[in-house]
Amino acid sequence: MKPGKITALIVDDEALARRFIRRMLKEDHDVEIAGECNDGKSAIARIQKHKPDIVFLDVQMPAMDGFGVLEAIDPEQLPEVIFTTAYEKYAVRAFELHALDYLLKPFDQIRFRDAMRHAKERLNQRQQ
Amino acid sequence: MRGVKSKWHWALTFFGIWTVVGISFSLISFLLLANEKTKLTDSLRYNLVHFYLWAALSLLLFQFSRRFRVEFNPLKFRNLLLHIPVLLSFAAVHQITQIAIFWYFTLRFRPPFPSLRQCYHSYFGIGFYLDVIIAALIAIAVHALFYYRDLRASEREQSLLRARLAEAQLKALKMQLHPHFLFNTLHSISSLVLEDAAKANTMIARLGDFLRLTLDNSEQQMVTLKEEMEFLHCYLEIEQVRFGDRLSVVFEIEAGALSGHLPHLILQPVVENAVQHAIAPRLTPGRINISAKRMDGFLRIAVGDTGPGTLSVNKPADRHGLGLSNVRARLRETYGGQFRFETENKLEGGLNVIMEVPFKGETNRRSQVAEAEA
Repeated sequence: MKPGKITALIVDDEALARRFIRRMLKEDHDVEIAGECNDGKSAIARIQKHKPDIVFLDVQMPAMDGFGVLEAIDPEQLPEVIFTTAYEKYAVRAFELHALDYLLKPFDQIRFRDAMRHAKERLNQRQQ
Repeated sequence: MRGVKSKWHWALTFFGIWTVVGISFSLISFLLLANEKTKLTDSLRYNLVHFYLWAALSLLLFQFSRRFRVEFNPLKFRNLLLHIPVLLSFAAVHQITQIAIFWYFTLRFRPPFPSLRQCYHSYFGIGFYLDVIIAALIAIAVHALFYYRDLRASEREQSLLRARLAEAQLKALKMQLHPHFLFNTLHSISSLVLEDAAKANTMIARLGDFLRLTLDNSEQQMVTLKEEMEFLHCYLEIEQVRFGDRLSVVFEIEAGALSGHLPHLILQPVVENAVQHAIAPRLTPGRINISAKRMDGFLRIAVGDTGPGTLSVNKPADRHGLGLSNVRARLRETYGGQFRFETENKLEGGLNVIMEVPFKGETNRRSQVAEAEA
């Protein structure tokens, strides 16, 4: 893990959904927001350029979905992924791809903080 | 197999009914008019011939009555008038044939050995009156049969319409429970709660309205365009919050069109189709145009979008979607052939869905009632 703060990227095509996560992350002083993307293609570019530690990834998006993003990225460079979606049906596939967590919309702040706690634990383990 | 069986069934029933009528008449006339000279076999023979002849003629009369049905309609008055000479002719033909048969097989061998002409002279009058009554009864029975059949058919049609509405409601409900819509909407509300309580408040109210309007009118087949537009506004306001700048909607609704009637929940699937194909898959702003006007006795509604249209998709059927085929089926059941429902690619790109149905307004209906009463 890079010294200092955890970097996080938010990927969702709906502005309100991105704002929710941004708001939650701003509460957390260990985290720095590496950016927001509203589609799969720009997400790939951002991940490759900024190499964030965590990506909050929506599944259903215009043109390219969340899984498309993960397939396009070199597994070595893959960040920790927390899926955020209204669909239950993608959960199995998400965990097959070693997703860190799977947040079903609508989710609340408690569930989100829970996911962040898991994420930090996983990142700490990686570091050691 | 079943068709053949039911044909035999009908033929036997038909034959049976006329036999019963013939025998009943024989017994009645034998018991009431009997003197020492009459024989039951004579009465039976005469009456069975009489009614089997009628059985044969009734098949022709059936064809005639079917073609020139008398209805409770001033315009079809002609048919009632037409029935009078035809029934008289049937009675005459029957009576002439009946007497000829009776003469040929019986009367000419018995004293006073009359000629056929003498028989006509003495018997035609009385028998003819009875035959006119029988012919009229047959015509009435045929009409009763038609009436019953129509009633059954319209009942079946009604239940089909009800089933379609139920299907549309189920679809609308499913759409609301669709992750795309309900859960994403709830998530948007959840975000709004944290930053803009007033806006969240409004959105919850809209979602409530939307759910309520779907469940309302559940028994009502037809609603006004005004009611249908309220429903659309709710739906679109919710989608607007979700998609933000990506969705803009332009309404061009003529005030005169609002009182027109439509099948309940017929427009929402069309607009939803536009949102799903023109707005959701794109990040660039898209527009949906909804227009309605009254035109030459028709209500014309158009829903246009700035999506890919049908050309860019390999399977155009996809673009028309299941939702739209259900809309078409419901229109067909409501209006028969009297409607238009088409999709066309716009020159500037995007799809236009056009719906035209006969304009039936509340005020119209009332004035018709007033006319009928006057």
